[in-house]
Amino acid sequence: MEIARKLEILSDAAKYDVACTSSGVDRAAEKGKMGNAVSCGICHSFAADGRCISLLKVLMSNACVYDCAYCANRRSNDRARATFSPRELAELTVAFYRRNYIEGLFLSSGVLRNPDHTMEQMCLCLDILRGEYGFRGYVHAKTIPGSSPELIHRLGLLADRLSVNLELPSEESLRLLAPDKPRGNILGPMARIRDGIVQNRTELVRYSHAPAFAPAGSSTQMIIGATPDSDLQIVRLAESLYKKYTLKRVFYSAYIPVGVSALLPVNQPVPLLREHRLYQADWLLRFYGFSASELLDESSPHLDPLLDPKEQWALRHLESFPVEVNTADRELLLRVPGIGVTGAERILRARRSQRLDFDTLKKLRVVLKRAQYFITCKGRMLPGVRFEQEGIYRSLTYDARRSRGLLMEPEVTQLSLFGGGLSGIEEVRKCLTGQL
Amino acid sequence: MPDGPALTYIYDGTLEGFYTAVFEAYARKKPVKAITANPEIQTGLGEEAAEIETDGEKALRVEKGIRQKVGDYCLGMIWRGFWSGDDKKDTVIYRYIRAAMGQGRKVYNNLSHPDVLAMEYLLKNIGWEEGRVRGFVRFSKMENGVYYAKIEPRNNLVPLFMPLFADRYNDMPFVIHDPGHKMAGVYDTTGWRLIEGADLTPPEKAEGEDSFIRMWRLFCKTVAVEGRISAKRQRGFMPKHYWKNLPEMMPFYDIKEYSGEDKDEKGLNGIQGAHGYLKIPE
Repeated sequence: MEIARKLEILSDAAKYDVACTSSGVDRAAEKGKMGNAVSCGICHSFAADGRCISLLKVLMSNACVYDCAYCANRRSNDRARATFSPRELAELTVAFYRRNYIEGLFLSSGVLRNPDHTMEQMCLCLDILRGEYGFRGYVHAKTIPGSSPELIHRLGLLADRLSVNLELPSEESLRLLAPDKPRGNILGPMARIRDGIVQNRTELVRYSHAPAFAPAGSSTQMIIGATPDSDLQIVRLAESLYKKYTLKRVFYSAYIPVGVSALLPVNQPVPLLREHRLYQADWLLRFYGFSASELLDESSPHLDPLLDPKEQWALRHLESFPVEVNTADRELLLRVPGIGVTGAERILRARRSQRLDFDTLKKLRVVLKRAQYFITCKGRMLPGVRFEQEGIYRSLTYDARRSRGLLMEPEVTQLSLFGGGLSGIEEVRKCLTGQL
Repeated sequence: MPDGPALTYIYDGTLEGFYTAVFEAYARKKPVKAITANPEIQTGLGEEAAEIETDGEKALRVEKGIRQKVGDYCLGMIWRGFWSGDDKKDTVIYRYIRAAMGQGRKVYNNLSHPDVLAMEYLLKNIGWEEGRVRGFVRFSKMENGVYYAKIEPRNNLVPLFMPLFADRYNDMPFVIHDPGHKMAGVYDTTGWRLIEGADLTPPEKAEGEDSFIRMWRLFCKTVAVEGRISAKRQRGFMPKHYWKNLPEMMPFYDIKEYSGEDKDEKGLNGIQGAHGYLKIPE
C-alpha cells in the first residue's frame, strides 16, 4: 500500500482523539540534532473544524481486535484497514517536522493482535525516531489498555506526554459500551504513569542525566453525551483525576455518532455546547481555584446552557460581590465573571501606580460586558447598573435567550424608571434603540 | 516646554538611525510630530521635516541612557517593537522612550499612561503574530538542498524568527524570506544573518518534494471531523491573510492530487469542503 494512502486511513482513524497539544515541556535544541520543544506549544495549522493541528496525529494501526460500540475502528465496522511499519512512520514524521509542518508526533493505535505487540511496535517507531534520527521534538503517545508495565515504562522514556483514555465517564457506561476494556486496565496504567513521573523527579534531582519519564505529564479523554452521565459526575471525576492522578489535562469529546448500536443515542445533535461548558468548568478547576462542589451539586447536576459556570456560581453567591477592583486580591478578582487570568494580572499591575476607575479599566481592555455587574471602582458601581439578582440574570443571559427565541414579552415593558428590575445600561440601550 | 513648529524626523530605517533620530529629537527641543523611515511623509501646514544622518555615537548615548535609567528590559522591548509593521511604530516607540526616561522603572507597570499603553499594544500585536506565524512557516526542500520558506506577515518577523529556527533546525541550511519587508534570514548550519533589501528568487523545488506537500494537504483534510466543520472557527485562528503561503490552504496544488479509492469529486470520503478550498457553508 502506498504511504499516502496509509496516512489517509490512519489519520482518518485517529481524528477522534481530541488532544493535539504540544505543550508542557521545554527541551533545548542540541547541536547536530533536529528539533526542540517549547512549553507553550505551537499550532501549525487549523483544520476545517477549527481544531489546531500541532502534531502528526495518526494511529500505528487501525486493524483493531476490540469491538467498542462508540469507536469507528471497532472490529465489526466495515472500513479500510492499514498499518504503518515503525520505520515508515518515523521517516514521515521527520520529513514533516523538517518542513515545519508539525511540532511532533501523536501516536496512538488500535489493538494489533494484542496490547503488548501494539506497544512494542509503537516503541520501535519512537526508538528509530529518537535514536536514529536524534529527534528532539514533541511526542505524545497513547498507552494501550492492558499492556505490560515494562512497556509503559519504555514508552514513557521515549515520549513527552503519555495518555490513557478513560473513554467514558463511569464504570457502568464503560462496561456497557467497551466490554474489552475493564476500568482497572485504564486506571492501573494511569497510576503507574503518575508513580513513574514522581520517581523520575527524584532521580533527576540525584542524577541530572537520568532519562526523563513523560516530562510533559499525562492526560486523558472521555466521550461526553454517549451515556447518561451527569455534568456533576464528570466534573467531580475530572477534579479527582487532577488531584489523585496529577493529570495535566482532561479532554472532553462531544459524542459524534460513528455507528449504530442499540446502546447509543441516535440522531441526537452533537452536544458541542455541553462540551464547551465542561471545558469552562475544567478551566475553573485548574486556573481559578474553584472546586467541583462549588460549581455543581445534587440539586442542579447539569451546567446551565445559558450561563457559563462562573456566572452561575457568581449569581448563587451574590454575597461575595460586588468586588472592589482597587483592593481585591488576585483570588477574588479571578472569581468575577468576565475577568480572566490576563485581566486580573493587568489590573494588579496597573493598580500599583494608580487607583483604577471604569475608564481606566476600559483602556486596559478589561472587558466590562459581564464584569460590570460584579465590581465597584473606588466604591461605586458603574452608573446605571443595579446590583440585583433577577436583573443581572436577565442581562447576562440576554444574548443567549435572544438567539434561542426565549425573550419574554414583559421584558419590553420593564423600561420604567421607577419599576425596578432594570439593570445594565446595555439592556437599557437595547430597549431604547428598539432592537427588541 | 519645547516650542516652534512641529518637526518630523526622517531616518534611514536602521535601529541605529532610529536612536540617532531620538537623540536629535531630545537635542533640538522642538515638538515632535513624528519619527519615520518613510521619506515621502506628508507634512502638515506650518510643520517641517528633518532628515537625520545616522550617527553611531549618538545612538549609543541614547541606548546607554535608556539602559541606565530604565534597564535592559526596556531596550529589549524597543528592539522587538522596532520590527512592527505599523507605520506609526517609530513615533509610538519614541513617545514610550520619553515616558520611560521620565518615570524610570515605574513605567513598566504604568499601564494607564496612554504612551505606555500604546507601546503595550504594539508589542502585543507583534507577539500575537509571532506566535501564530511561527507555526505557519512552511519549508520546501530546494534542488540545491537548502530549505526555503516564504512568509508574508504584517510585522517584520524574520529577525525575531531566525534565532528560534536556527536553534530548532540547526542541522539543515535554510532561508526564511519575507518579500513584503524585503528581508531574508539565511542559516548555513554554522550561523545566521539577515539580508535586507534583497530581491530573492528561490531555486526550483527538489525532486520528490511535491509528494510531501501532497501528503500534508491530505493529512490536513482528513484530520477534520465532519460533524464539527466550522469555517468561521478556522478563519478565527488562521486568518485568510496567511493562507497564500500555506500549501494546505491553496485552492489547488499544481500537481494532480492524490486520489484514493474511496474519494469522490466532492472531496475526501464525500465530505464537502473538508478543508478550506471547497465552499464551506457558514
